[in-house]
This record gives sequence, C-alpha cells and structure tokens, in this order.
Amino acid sequence: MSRPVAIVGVGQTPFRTHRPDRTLRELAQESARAALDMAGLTFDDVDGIVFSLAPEALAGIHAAERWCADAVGASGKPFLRVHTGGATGGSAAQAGYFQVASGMHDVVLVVGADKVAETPDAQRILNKIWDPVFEMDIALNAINMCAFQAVRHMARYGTTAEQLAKVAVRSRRNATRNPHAHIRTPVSVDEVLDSRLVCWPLKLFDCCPRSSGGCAVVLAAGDRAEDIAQRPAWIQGVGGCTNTYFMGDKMGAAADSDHADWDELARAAERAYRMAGVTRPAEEVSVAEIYAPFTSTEIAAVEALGFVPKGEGGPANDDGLFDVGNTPSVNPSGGTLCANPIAVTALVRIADAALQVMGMAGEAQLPNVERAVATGIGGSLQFHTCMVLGRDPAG
Amino acid sequence: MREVFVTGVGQTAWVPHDERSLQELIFEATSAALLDAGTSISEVDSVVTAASDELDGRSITSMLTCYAAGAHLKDEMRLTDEGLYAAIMGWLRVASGEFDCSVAASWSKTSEVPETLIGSLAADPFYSRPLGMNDEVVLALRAGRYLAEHGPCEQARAAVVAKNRLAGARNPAASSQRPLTQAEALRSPCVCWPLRRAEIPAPCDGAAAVVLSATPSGSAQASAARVAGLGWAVGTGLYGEAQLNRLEALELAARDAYRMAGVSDPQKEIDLVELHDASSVHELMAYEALGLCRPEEGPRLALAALANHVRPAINPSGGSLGSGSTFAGGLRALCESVLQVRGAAGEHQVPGVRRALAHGSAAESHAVVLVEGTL
Repeated sequence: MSRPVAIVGVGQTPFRTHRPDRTLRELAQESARAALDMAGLTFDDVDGIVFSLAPEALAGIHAAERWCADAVGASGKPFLRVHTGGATGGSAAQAGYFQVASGMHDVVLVVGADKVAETPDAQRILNKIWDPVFEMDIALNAINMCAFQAVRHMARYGTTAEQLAKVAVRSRRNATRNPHAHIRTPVSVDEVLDSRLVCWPLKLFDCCPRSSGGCAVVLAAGDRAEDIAQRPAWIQGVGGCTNTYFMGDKMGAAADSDHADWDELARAAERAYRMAGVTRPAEEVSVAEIYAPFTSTEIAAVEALGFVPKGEGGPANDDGLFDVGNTPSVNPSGGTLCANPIAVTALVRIADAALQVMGMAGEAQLPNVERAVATGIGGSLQFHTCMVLGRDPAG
Repeated sequence: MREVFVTGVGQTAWVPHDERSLQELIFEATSAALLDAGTSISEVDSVVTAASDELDGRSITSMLTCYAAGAHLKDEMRLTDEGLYAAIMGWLRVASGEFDCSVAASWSKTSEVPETLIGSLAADPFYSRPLGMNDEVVLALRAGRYLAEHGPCEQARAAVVAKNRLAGARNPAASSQRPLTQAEALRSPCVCWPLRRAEIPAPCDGAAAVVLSATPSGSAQASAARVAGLGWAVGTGLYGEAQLNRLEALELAARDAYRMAGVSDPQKEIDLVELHDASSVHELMAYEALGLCRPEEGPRLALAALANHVRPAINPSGGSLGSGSTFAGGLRALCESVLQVRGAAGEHQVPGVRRALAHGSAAESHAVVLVEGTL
C-alpha cells in the first residue's frame, strides 16, 4: 500500500556551543544545501518541506519556522512544522515519510536547526514545559526529569554510577571519529565520576551539551531514490508512541508501565520492527543511533529496543556489548551525549544512521551496515519515535 | 493513493471566554467527533494535533494537551501550523496505508493570552520587530495594498462583516456576538489603517476535532465525507518581495487541491466555501485566490454574497468574523464543510451541497481541503 521511501541525502553542520557566525535560518539553509548537494538535487527539485523545530523559545522567535521558510526554499511550496519536544527530529522525519509514502510528494526535504546556547539558561525555558501551578515552582526541568528515571532504574535493577559512566566513555570515544560532534574529547570512568554533580546521580559528563547547529535529510520515493543515490537508506519501518505526561502515573499498582522502563519506546520500536520485518533486533540491527541525552537514558533505551532484557543494559555495556564493531554498535557517532541541538537531535540520529547504511559515515563508518535504528525522545520522557533504515526497500 | 474519509466531526461552542480548562475543551471536541463517527478510542491508531506553545502558555503544549485528544499510548505527533494542518497530516498518515483511523484536533484559549504580543514575537528580531510588526499590521499592510488597486471598497468590506456576523448569529456554535449592519461596521473605529475594529475578528476560545478513516463503517457509512483534494503552501515572509494584494500561497494550495479533486471550474464545481476571513479584505483576496471570481470582482462578489445570491455559498457558519478567531479555524471550517455535505448543518444548512472547501491560514501559511458527500 505505501510506496517505498528512502533517504538519499544528509546534511549537518558541525555542532558547537555557539555559532555567532550564523543565524538560525542560515544554519538550516546550510544543512539543507548539504543534504541536497549529496543527493545531487537543488531546491527546485523539492516537492515539500518539513521543518523540525522544538521549543522556539530557545531561539526567542515565535513560530521561527516562518522566519526560516524562505531560507530553506519553502516559499511557494507545501511547508509545515513538527514539534514534539526532543523527539521533534524523529517526528519530522516521519511526517516527511508520510508525505512521500502517501503518494502526495516524490521528494521531501526535512530540515531544522537550533541554537540552544543562544538563551542564557536553557533549563529556564525547559522549566516552562511543566504545569505553571503545581510543577514550575519546584524547578522541574529536563535534567531532574531524567534523574528521576535514573534513580528508579538504579533502585529497580541495581544499575550503578560506574555503569552510567561507561556509557559516557564509549560515546566520547566514538565521537572522536565524528567531525560533526560537539564534544570530541575522550574521557575515563574516573573523570566522569569526578565531574561536577548536576542532579544526583547525573554528573556533568553524564549529561548532554547545549549545542547549536542544523541538520537536513532528503527523502525520495522508490524509483526516484534509485535514480538519485547509489545506495539509498530505505526507510523500512516507522513507529511512535506517546505515554502519559505524569511521571507519577508510571509507578504503583495502576501504572501501565514503570518509569524505570521505556515501554513506550518498546511499543514504537515494535511497530517499526514489524514494518521492517525485524524479529530479532539484537541480531538484525547493526547500528543503533539512540537519542540518549543522559547516560542513564541510553541504558533504558537499549533494553526497550530489545537488545538486552530489562535491567541488563548496565551489565551489557560493562561487557562492551555495544562497542563499535558489535551488533548492535550503539551511537557510533557519539550520540546525543556528544551533541544535542534539541530541535534536530532526533533528526541527527536518523542522519547518522542513514550515513552508516549508505556507507558514507567517513571515519566513523562501520563495515556491512545492513540495518540501522534511530530513535527520538521528547517531553516528560513521553514522546518516542523509532525509525528502521536498511539497504533494501522491503523489510 | 488511498481514499480517506472524514467520518466524524466535533467542535465546542466558540465563545469569547470559556471557563473550562483547555484539556476539557479538547476532550469535548474529540469525544464528540468520535461519537459522531461511531468510533471508539481503541479503534484509533493515529492522533495528530495542531497547537501553539505560546498561545497555550506552555513550552511544549502537547505534553499535557495531546491526551485530551486521545493520544495516550497512541502513535501521535503535533504540528504547530494552524488547525487544518492537523487534518492534512492525519490524511497523509491514513493515505500512506500505515494507519487506518486518525484523530485530528486543534484548539486555542485566546482569552488567556496576549495574542498581539505573541504575534509581534514572530517578527524577525533584527529588522522587523523594532518596527512594531505583528499579525494585525501585516493584515493591514495587505489590505492597504489591495485597496490601492481596487479603491476603498467600503461597502464591500462592510458587506463581508455584516454577512459573516449575521451568519455567526444564526450558528449555534458561534460566539455570542450580535449581528452588525454595514453602517455599524463602517462606524467602527480604525485600529490599524485601513482596517477598522469590526473588520478584524475578535478572539475566542474553543476546540475542534475530526476523525479520518480509510473505511467508513457502521453509523459513519452514510454520513462520511470523502476527502477529494488537499493542498497547502507558505508564502514568502519577505514582505518587501511579496505581492501584498494577492494571497499567492492560497492560489497555490487551491491549485493543488483542485488538481487532485479534478476541479477545473471552482465557481461551478464547488457548492460551498468556508474560508478564513482573517480580515474583511482578506476575505476579498481569498475569493480571488480560490478562483471564485475574477481578480477585480472580489468586492462585487462580497456584495452579492450579502444579498445571498451566490454560488458557492461563502462562510455560512459565519467564519472568524462571525464565530471568533481561533488557532483551530481551518479545522473548524472542515467540520462545517463536512456537516454541510452531509446535510447536517441545521439552521445554517445550504441546500444541495455536494462539494465543500475548507480553508485555514495563519500568517503566510494556507491550507485547503475539499470534501465531497458520499450520499
């Protein structure tokens, strides 16, 4: 029923804390150009554009996508913007997928950018995602939200601070081979454990940076994709799942799922895997680009994606199960711990996964990547997206 | 391309101030749409919402609000484009074959927010914001350009206001604004030259939702409306470059929708239009962009529409001037269009509507959805 859809071009800017040399829309344009160049296409070839932008309060411009539209070639074309918090890039790519899969458009550009450090304190903006009467005053933000989940995972499964630190060690090591990554310096377990405590158990090096930069992917329908790219990254499966906003509802007898776990990611992945014909993810997925803004979140994610049973994420990482060269290799790009330009981070995961499948990941390239998974997460750990990419159109 | 039907519609009353919470409004509209469709929430496999963080006062509004639209443990996404875009994305998802039944919902409680201030924050901070640009100013600049081409068009503009206010008064869902005569409209104070207060819709609170399905079944079968065509486009934000007297993005969106639906003569082939009357002059420009008349005939069409001598019928629900302006405007228009092709629009039903067009717009984004009755 749906047409095959592939990623035929990918563009991303180097991610840095500040980009005083580029406005938000210039970052978006640069990314769009890079993706189109890779595909050998121009803005004229694009049928529709999806803009990926999370809380624009970070940029200080209401409906900033309108300000960016001309810069990404959208004037006079179908244009819309997706915003699902941190999952935005994943949802935006799926929106683009549906535009092509439905038969509406043949070539769609998905593009966005962020300048997270443009605002003096990003967490003050992220505090505004919470309820103004009951929650904002207790200074909930994105960091302590994830810390709660980390505490619960540790209490439930015995995950340790050392295990969290090892996730950071692996990610940083991987990022040394990714020229786009924001943080590219290796780090040791001791250095992570000794870094400044931000919100127990999360220390500075357990946390993502505030990054500025842009990302774009070009999607094309089956026959076009084959004309455009030598080795397209076919979108074999997509899925999303939204769980409750109320973290407290994920505890206790009436809970659908526990806050330690990411059952909602498992559901999103289940749909994507089913579409892709993946039945044994631990064996069939070569690369997993996981949106994990904190070390603890990656441990929950590898369990939810079915790579290891619940609670086993820490020990598996201890054993080097997710090191590059293994199946799956997790975050060979360095992942979100090494770059988090919030509006597009989930799109960057897709871009990095696509590059691996296309054989264009440069120094970070792993051999024989038949299939990759990319995830996104947003809101109160509530919005989850999952995309399966592979060398063949059919799953 | 898979056929998709609008099998259910729901909308709250559109009032200047609703005491209930946003979640309660969204829940009411969505529940009504599901009931109308004869669909239970368990049959829904996709939810798409359209909402604005700043208008809702929360930095990721869908975190709290999407559940009232049925998103719990569903495959859900949120757009920040105006209401009709939720239906468009819902259509894309079902048309792709990956989903069978999608809710699309949109809302705003404009009574709680300084809408003009928010609009001014959309202006580019380097060159436009210091000039005091906001949504109203843009409407006024466009109106001024249109009038420079067409003359003051006082009676035509007043006719749009009077027509839509009268229609709104007859629409049980609409705001509690009283009808306004042309003379009263012309006496209204000028707020942003050349536009008078009466020519710009007042804000309102409310929510709208639709159910989109691949297969109308059961109670929905007889009353389903087929989505015949859709299109959307954004115009340039560089106002110095734009043709301010024309809604070029709407022309493009309509062109795509008409092509998909096989419409070559909208004046003859479309029976009813629910368009976004962002201002009185905006409605005149929309007539022309939608091909309902020739470029210089907009004012004449407005006068004829007030006298009720037109086909397609224009804004029989009252539009935004009649019901109040809302972020959900285009989705509200779709609800009305579906009711009309079903013959279920009650007091403001237009006879013999087979094909209806819903239009939604915000700033320079325009979307069009064409529905056909299946009776």
